[in-house]
Amino acid sequence: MTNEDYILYLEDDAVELMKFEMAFTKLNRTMQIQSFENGLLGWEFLVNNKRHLPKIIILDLKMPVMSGLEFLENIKNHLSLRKIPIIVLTSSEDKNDILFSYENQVAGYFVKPFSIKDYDETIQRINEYWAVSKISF
Amino acid sequence: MKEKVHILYIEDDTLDIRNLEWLADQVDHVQLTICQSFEKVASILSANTIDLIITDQYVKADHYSNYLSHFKQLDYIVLSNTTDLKKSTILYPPLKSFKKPLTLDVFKSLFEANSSQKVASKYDYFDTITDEEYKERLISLLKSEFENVLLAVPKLLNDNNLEEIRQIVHKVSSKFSLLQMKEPFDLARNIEKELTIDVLSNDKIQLLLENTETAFTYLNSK
Repeated sequence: MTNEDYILYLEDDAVELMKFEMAFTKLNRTMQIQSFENGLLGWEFLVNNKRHLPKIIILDLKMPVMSGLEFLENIKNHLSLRKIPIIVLTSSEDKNDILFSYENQVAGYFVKPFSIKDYDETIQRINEYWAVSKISF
Repeated sequence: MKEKVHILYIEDDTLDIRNLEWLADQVDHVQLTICQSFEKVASILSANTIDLIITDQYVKADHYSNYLSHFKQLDYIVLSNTTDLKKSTILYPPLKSFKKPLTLDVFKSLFEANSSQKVASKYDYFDTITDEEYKERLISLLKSEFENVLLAVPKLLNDNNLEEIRQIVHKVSSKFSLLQMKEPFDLARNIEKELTIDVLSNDKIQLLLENTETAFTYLNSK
């Protein structure tokens, strides 16, 4: 990985990853996307790359080995990693998942829409918000 | 001159009724009959030749699935703010379901496509992808995932391994989403929800496998 800004996307579904990459490409964003298929791999990557942390983490919740919720809890308890903004992008509409995520200070919780058009719009809105945020990506 | 399409709209919300009346006014071959309760549907269908039913998911707190026997096997469309698939709808599923409010483009599309086009329109996402390498990779991945479902689920059913089935069903729902197959998507989500409380419906699983087969066959033609 170069020293450029990048997004860390934790998602175990390869098709979802492709969907995200396609949606991101449509926005003409060229920021790199570093992805891992479970929370543990993502966690180990961050711990070993503290000098070059991602601008933002996009987090699926339902992952094997280490779920998104476990990852979230771990990262928010880590002094140097907890500052990284995390956006949950999940199929879960479970109120407990939403509550847990906000109690662990996620920057946003998005349910993956069924419609491709709505999905692309969701990614576009996330992009638009963070493009003007002080912590931009 | 196009033959009129007679729609029965089942809805009790004034604003929603007004919206659909406006939509019907924009399409000159649509005749609209409004019905504000499910109890009146049977009598309306007896007295009129209805081509299509559009129904709100809940009318006067009743769920449409409790009145499917009144629909006389006519094609029907569900409008809703949420999805809530019940068992009875799986055996007589809606043609489509849409989020409210219904837009003019979507409303017009109900009358412009014939049935084979309606089926094809579910899968036209691939026609919008210009990056051939991406398209090939995506199709290959999807085929592999659907094939895994077809092979793995029957074995897991034999082993009564509900957790593994749940994980597979969870993953396949996103594939149906990509192909814009709404009813199989809703079905998969419904099965997944039931499996979290150890409820397994063989009928639903079989229907899911049939839909998976359909998707797999479609992808093989790409």
